[in-house]
Amino acid sequence: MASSTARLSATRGPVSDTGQGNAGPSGKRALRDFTLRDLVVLVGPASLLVVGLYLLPFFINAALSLFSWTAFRSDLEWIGLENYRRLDQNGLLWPTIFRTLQFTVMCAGAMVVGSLLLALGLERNTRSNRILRTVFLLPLVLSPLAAGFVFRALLGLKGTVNTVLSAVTGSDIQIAWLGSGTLTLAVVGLATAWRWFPMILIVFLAGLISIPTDAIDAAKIDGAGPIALVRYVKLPLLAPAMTFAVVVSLIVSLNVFETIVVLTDGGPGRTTEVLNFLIIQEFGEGRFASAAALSTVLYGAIFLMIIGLVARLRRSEVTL
Amino acid sequence: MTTARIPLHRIAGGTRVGVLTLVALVVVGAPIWVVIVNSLKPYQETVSPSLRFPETWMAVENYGVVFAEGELVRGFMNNAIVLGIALPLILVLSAAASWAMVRSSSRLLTPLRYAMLVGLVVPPAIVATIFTLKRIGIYGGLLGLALFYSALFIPLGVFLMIGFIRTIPRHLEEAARIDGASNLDILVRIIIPLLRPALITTSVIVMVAVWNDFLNPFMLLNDPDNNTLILSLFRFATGSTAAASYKWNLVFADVVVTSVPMIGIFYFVQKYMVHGLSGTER
Repeated sequence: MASSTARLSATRGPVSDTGQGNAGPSGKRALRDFTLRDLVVLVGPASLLVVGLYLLPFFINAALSLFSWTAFRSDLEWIGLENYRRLDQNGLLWPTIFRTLQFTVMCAGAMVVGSLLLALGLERNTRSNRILRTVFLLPLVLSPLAAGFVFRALLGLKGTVNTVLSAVTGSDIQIAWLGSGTLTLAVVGLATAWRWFPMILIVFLAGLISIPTDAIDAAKIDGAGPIALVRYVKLPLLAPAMTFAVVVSLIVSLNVFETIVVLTDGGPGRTTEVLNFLIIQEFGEGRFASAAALSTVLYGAIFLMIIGLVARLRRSEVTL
Repeated sequence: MTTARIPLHRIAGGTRVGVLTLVALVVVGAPIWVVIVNSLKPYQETVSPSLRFPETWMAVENYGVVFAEGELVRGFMNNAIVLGIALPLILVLSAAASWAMVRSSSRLLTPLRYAMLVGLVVPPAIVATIFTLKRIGIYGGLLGLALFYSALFIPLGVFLMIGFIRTIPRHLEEAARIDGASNLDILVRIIIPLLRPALITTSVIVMVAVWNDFLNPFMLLNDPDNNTLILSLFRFATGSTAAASYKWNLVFADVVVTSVPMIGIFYFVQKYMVHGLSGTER
């Protein structure tokens, strides 16, 4: 930031030094800074939209969770923490939070680990790697909803996976990938990871490309093998990409909806009902304020997580 | 004995490509093959969808049903309307805001910088958005959805454009100002043309995200006439429009048709993204 302003002032040339702005020690004063009126015109419309339709809803959401607001009563009545208490009492809140955490760890973990391994394999700019990179980006073409349909066809009792397994083993295999109380949450997590991992792969590839070859060469001269090279050179230098990748994959996992609604609709039982799914469910059943209360929990968690993670991962970042 | 003559890294490299190709075929190739090949079969062959080629080819019939009952034209038009409103808003307003944010040192902009940072990562509070849109009186229609998308993607536009504007030499603007150009002139004639790469990146990301989005239109639209393409796929596939109801031959034909425009953009994305991302990360 500081260096870029210094660079900018350097490119301004002699004109600015004769101008009316007093070029302070940092040279930060512009020849002609924007007036308040300029700023309102330039920044106003964007701010109005972002604040009005994006930021404000977060506060409205938190406020709504303290009122009673349902499909059957449109007038708002203050009831304090009653919505949260009800969610806690009917046993929805904590199991759902726990399930959401499980899902997030599996889904984001699969995305980050899988993408990292692929990125390390696809790092060198060879012909075969360029083709493979393109192939691995293909899931992004399908919408998350379409990806849900694909995995429903693959994983049904008579789905492609069971068909192939039966053909390979020669016996009739019918694994209930989508109907098992223990297995299904992980299966849905992997299906969700499938749709989004190319984004993380792009982040890691971009990170690997930006590692200077000198660092790699120096480590090789010092006798580092391929594993040591990854462990002691590439991973530390990938830390900024890692921060970004972890944050993005966590947010994607926490916001899962399409794959769950298509694959399991929350079932069997409630075993795949994660927070974002339950929010939409509650809303759909007309308990608007209850949905707002759950959203407040979700966004609170997202805010805390991002702040904590960025602070923690930033500390571990290495620069050359 | 003969293998000893081949350098070890060659063997390792060959195995690596082999393993990666196998992974690509199983993880990405197989699911996409299932979609394409099953969209060409009669219904009976897709009750248990397999990797096999069709015994009877039903391509014309399946895709015919999709075009007849998939509400594709309406979905496509609604997508175009939403993007037609949202995209120009996002591009112009982000450009104006990021220009001011780069060139002004005013403290008034500090809260806005934080707001944009939050907007880049935290997903929208959809329930309260419905409440807000209802209060403004634009809930349920395409305009409300388009304005919501604008609010959602302006932070991304600002993020991508700020880095670019920093590289534009300041004396270009100053020279124009001495010649009597207004802010609007400078924005339209100098800044926006120089921002072209960032404008393209923003447009592509917004188009792909809006095209593929299901949850937000599902929540923010309340009339089937306003359905976007993905919503019409949902209606068709889950059986609200009778024909398909999880008949994989028809569902997958619809999946192929609704995904085709994305393949065109995909070619661009895969060439551009890796390079573009590493450019902005620095």
